[in-house]
Amino acid sequence: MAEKELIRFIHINPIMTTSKALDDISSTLGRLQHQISLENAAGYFSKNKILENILLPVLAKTYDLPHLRNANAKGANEPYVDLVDDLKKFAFQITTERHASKITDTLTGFVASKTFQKYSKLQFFIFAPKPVAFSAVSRKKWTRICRGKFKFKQADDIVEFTDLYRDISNLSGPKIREIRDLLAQSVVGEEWIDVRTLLVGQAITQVNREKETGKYIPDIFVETTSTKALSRVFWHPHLFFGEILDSVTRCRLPIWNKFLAKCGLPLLPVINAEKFRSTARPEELASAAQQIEQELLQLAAAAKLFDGLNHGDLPPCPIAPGKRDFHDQNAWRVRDTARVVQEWTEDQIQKLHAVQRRVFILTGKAGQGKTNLVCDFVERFGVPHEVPCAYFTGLQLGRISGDLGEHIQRTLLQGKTPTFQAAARVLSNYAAEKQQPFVFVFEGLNEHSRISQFAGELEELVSAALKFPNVRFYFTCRSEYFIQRFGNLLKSTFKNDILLVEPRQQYLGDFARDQLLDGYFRYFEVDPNRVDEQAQRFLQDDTLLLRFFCVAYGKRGRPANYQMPDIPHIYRAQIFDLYLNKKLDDAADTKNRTVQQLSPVGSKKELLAVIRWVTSYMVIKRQFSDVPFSEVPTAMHSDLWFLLGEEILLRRDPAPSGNISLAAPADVLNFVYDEFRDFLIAKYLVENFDPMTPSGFATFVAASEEGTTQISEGIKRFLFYTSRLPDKLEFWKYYSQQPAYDEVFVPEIFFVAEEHHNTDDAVRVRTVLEKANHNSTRVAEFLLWRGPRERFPFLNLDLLIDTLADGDDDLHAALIRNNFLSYYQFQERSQPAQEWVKTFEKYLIPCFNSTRHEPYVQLMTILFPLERESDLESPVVRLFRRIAANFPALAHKVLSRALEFKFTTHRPYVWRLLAEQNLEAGMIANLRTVAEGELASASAETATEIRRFLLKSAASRP
Amino acid sequence: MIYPTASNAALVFLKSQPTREQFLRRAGVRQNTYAAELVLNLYDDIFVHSKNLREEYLKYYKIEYPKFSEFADTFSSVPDSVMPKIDRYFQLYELIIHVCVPSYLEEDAGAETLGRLLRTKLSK
Repeated sequence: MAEKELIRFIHINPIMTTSKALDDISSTLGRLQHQISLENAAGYFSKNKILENILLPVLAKTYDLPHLRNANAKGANEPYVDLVDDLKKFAFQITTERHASKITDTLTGFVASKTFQKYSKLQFFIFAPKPVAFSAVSRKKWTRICRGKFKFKQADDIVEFTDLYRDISNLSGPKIREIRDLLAQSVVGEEWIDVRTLLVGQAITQVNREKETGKYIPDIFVETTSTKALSRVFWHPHLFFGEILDSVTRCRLPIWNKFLAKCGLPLLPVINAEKFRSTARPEELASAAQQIEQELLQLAAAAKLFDGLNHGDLPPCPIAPGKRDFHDQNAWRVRDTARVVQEWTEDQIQKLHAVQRRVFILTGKAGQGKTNLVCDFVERFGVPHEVPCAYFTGLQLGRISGDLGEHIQRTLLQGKTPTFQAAARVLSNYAAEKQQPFVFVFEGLNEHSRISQFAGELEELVSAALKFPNVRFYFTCRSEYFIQRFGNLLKSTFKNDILLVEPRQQYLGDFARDQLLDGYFRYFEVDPNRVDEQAQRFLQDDTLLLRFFCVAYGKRGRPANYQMPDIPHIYRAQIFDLYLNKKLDDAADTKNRTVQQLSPVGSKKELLAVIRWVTSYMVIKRQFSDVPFSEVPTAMHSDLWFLLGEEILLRRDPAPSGNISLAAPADVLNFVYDEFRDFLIAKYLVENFDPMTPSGFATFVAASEEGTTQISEGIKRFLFYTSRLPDKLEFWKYYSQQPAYDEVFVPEIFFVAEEHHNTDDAVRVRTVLEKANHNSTRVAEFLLWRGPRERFPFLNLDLLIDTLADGDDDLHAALIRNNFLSYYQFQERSQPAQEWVKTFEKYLIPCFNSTRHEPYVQLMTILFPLERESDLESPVVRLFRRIAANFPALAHKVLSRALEFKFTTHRPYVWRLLAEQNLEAGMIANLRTVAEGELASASAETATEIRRFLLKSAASRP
Repeated sequence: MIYPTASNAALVFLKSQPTREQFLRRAGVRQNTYAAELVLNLYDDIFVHSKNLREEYLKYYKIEYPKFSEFADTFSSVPDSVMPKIDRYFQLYELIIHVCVPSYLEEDAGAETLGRLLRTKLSK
């Protein structure tokens, strides 16, 4: 074991010798005795009531009575005895009274009630401060009472404090240490600590701290209902296990089975959840959850048999005689039912995992709202439900220098327990009394400043704490860090106890996305009316950018006269630039408040110089992480500390393993966000680019092409953005000829400011479109959602229409039909055409202008075949009819143009719609010529529609 | 009171739960007939397989959401017209059920039938 590891190990597990344990026991029993006598003298008897419970485990261990129980516990009624072992027929009377009459009365009652038939041995445990001495008369009386019933000898059967201590000291070392721990837990203060008040105060204080620093922004929590539902079960399994049972009881299984019986198919297994209603203890809960899970798995397996069957397929089991017809007519419902059953069982199983497992790890992207979730949950759920919990953040834990467990136990229990394990035991027992778990919350694991060391400490800590049954851990971590930095937890001894809740954002529904955006805008005082609809949509998909955006443009923290500009588009580089400036302003303010001698401008310049120095080091050394702290010029150290203060731009990490030296710890510097680092490196490279001698830059890029330097995609992206700025024309001329430029052209060109687009972009985009590959589809999607030429001079909807108009059916299929659909299916929007129609209805119908919006109507002719229904109907066709009814001239114009398109899939729709129109005579004549010319070569479906048109138009000819 | 919430769903406010027999009588169908089976399926849909939001709130969410309206807003799609009144309804009605309505009850005639069976009014 390495020296450092050894020191840590010893610290966590201080050596407890038998002699030290005996000392502790002696002083603990003495202390208890003293407290009781003082209380009794003052007329208080609260400790007497709990004495039986305190002594129970001690007596059980000392006298080897493993089944010793409290005879006066709730529901039991054993007169004259306090603690009993039914198997060994052993009973104790615990008393603090020293009078002989107590023993006489008890013995009399014990005999009279024939309790001796149940317990053949009765011992008195007298917990009195002074030794007792009884008269011969009393002793004779006792012998007379017990004669012929059971044996009672004062010497053996009246035990005092000194006897107990003697008997304990005769035990083996490990047993002595166990008894020491038991007493330490129950006597040495812990039982009398107001654990509840301490813990509630701790968690709420932490929540308030998060509010003050702006990390907890109330109302910005993406209520992914499933995540919160799982959290509820995890935090309060006893209560929410009942809700799972309700859900199982309420499920539609009887209805599904009725239906399957009609289909002549085997029934799904029924789950009897009611039998678990009375489950109360935590270990029973886990076992009950496991049993239900097994039953649900069987149910899911039974349902899976029918999943995926297509119409006409036979199920993989015989159909009962006489039921075949009903089955065939309802086969689609069988498949749908199977799918519903499986989805439902999956949800329930996940919740049951939250009952059973003890380490909940929520991962998510930066800015998604993990801190908010935790704070909201502690504030609104944990504290009101009185779930005992403690809340720490990775950032804070990174600032402690000592042992992690030691810090936690000192923080929570004020050092009243000797070790973290002892604290965990106290907390677990406290939680058990409340029939709840004790939840340790560690929020933002990734924010710890020494992640690799912390990951190991955390594993050790969790492993130690999970030995106590009611302790649970609730962690949050940025998803990109988790597997890489805390993957050890998934391989640990408690790996099967982990419930890993994966990122949810990609599955967020529209409602949740709206909530997220609204929450951020409200908090940072961003005026939504000044942010373009499409820009808002883009921000919803990238929460880190959303946060940067809000910091960059929001009114919060700015002077009262600040006017937020209109934001027609999202320009990532610009947002990052503004964010950098805002954060440097904040750091400069802090510095000026602290130093009180520099002007803000001077401070900001110096702070920026530090950022530049770190960036230049990365570029020159080709090393994009772990810049040695020791390399930073001493003159910059004071400014560096201000930047490290809130860890918003830079963070200090320990050197990667291998460089660790106990004598001289070699810390390193990293940027907090990798994407932000890429932005700064790109900025640095462009600022130092010399068009006359581009060799330095070329060498850097060439090294990356050869694989000798790990230049990230992020840097390429930001180089691209920077090259597009008007004052970087020379750099653009050079860089646009490089392969790296083309690599990121799509989709980054769409995030460049509109005024920085040019004709070269339109040419490149068209080339990309014509390739009909994955990139083309993305471009088509971007263009589809953009406006016409009037608003977007170069990259616009017209460009897509024009390209498609010149393309064949394959291009149409690649760009619009197949990939367009699949793209949206990936986004869980299975009806993209309907989505598009809804958007059109919402935004364009109220202000429709036949000139300005003509390209959208032309686009409809391309989208006709999407989500085709029977008889050439589709969502877009229906929308087109509505437009045509109000704007016939526009409809005729775009339909005529659609006939000039080279692809053919839309043609039957166009001819059908033309047949429905009341066309002018001149137009009819022209179209009839086109129709007759096309008839011979048209597909069967198009030919039918052409004939329909010819028939209709013949009838309407003058 | 019945309030349609989304397609195929409604929020039903009732003072008490009818028995199966009452439900059949209101529907005017005899026991052990095909019609009775259909009506009882509907009964089960509403009173066995649907959530009684009031009961659920009182059992599990009262502590977390001090007002029923906060809970209802988070856990069920409550129509805007009902939101201002829902805390009062919570005091008045024993059952607040979020029910998935079979498609045949979505039409006007079907919705009226549902109102008759539940002895309550249909709000649009």
